[in-house]
Amino acid sequence: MARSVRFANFGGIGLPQQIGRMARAGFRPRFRNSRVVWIGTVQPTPISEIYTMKIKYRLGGRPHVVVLDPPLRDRGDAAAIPHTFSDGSICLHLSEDWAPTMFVADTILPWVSHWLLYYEHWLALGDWLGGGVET
Amino acid sequence: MAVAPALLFTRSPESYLDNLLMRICVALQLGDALHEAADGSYQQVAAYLESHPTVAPLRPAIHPQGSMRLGTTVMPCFGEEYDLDFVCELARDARAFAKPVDALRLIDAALRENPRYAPMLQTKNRCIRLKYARKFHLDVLPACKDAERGGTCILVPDRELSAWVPSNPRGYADWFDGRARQLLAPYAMDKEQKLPEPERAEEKSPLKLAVQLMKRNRDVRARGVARPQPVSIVLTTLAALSYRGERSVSGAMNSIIRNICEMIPPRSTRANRLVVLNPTNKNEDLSERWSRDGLAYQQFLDWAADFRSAWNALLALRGIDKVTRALETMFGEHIAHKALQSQAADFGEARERNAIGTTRGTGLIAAVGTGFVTPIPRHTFHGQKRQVR
Repeated sequence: MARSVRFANFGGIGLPQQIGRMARAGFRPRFRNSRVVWIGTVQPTPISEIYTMKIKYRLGGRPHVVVLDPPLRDRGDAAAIPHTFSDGSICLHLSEDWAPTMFVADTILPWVSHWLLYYEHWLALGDWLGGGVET
Repeated sequence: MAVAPALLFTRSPESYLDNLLMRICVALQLGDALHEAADGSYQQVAAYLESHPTVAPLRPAIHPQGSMRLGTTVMPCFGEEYDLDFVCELARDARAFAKPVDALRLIDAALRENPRYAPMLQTKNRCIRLKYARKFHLDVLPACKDAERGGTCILVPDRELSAWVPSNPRGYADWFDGRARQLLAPYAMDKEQKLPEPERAEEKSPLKLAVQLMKRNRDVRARGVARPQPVSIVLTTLAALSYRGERSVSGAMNSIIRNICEMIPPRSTRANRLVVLNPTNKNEDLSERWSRDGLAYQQFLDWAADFRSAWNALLALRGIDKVTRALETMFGEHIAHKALQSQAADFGEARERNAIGTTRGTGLIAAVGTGFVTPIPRHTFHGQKRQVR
């Protein structure tokens, strides 16, 4: 199905363009079935860890973002890491915030930096200072 | 004196850490409200003594001394009070007093006459202490000009010794300011008549910030330990001697802690100890206590070694949470959290203004308008509310 979407005129940004822009951010693509999987690093502040990220994207779908290394940690209490899904991927936006007409490199990547900043703040302070909604 | 440093966008971990350290220093200083209250109280006491019938003829000149004058005040641990020192210099020869303690009694009696000050007053060895309800006390040290030594030298009455003791707080402050101003643009300073104006943390000399951090680390480390800790004047002097004009707190701290450790003789004990002389009076050994109290000297050695290793470890840490944990251990949990919270609040505010973005290639958060910075589009973090266990 995705393969047909890939060639359909869905009005979004094509994979070559997405890949080109991600490459400029240092993210290398690999192709798995009909998806592109990018691996690259993000460091939100100079005193932060350097995180290796995996971003899976199927043309027209919602990017799926996972922190590979260092693995995400909780605070040792009952609270789960805020703004994550049960599969461990991180939740950067509401569905209406993102559309396939946007560049992953210009939206998802800045949001990843932002998320990682608040994640490190949360580890330090126990409060998620970045706002958002959890359902 | 609480003026937070601007958010700093940099690729350098040291500069980024500096921003947090400056926020720690801001949190350690007298807050704006307390600074204003202390300034008001000081002005009132000064005006009262200057117009008091028995004190006024001696033309008292009252000015801040110690950390208040140097800009190195540090919030006390455990709900103790800020200790604010003032010299009340009398234009009278010390020998005109029959006994040194008479100078103390003169100021004591004058303040005691005032129904407002009488209940707040405590008599100390070298000063009269006024305890205010608002987290600070003012120590008023009477003094006479030291005609023999001249310059800014004064004589201070010591009740227990029943003697006049030489001192030179203004000379010391001028020396310290000179050390603090190395490589920095000189600025006019007349701090004698009022409390020093609040200084923005990034405009404050890195030496002053480093002294605050060292004193704070000593206090935090001393919690629950009954042993004698290195005194502020010794730490302040060592820091000022070791400072080489670095422009950043972390640079200053690197240099200071390394130089202090190098000043300590190898295999140092009480017998071959470090001697810290008063830079304005080389006859005065500020560290004199160490020659008779080996334990006090050992405490200093331990402090210096521990501070050096904690500092070096801090520089190598990555992860804001790990850095914060280290700052908690070094400077206290409350202060470290306050510093990080204030930095986080500034990030939030910058984000609201769409003023921050991320740097292409690294993901570092930076100011929009600088090179290769992608603005952060509006978004709302989402997710499932879950419990780990």
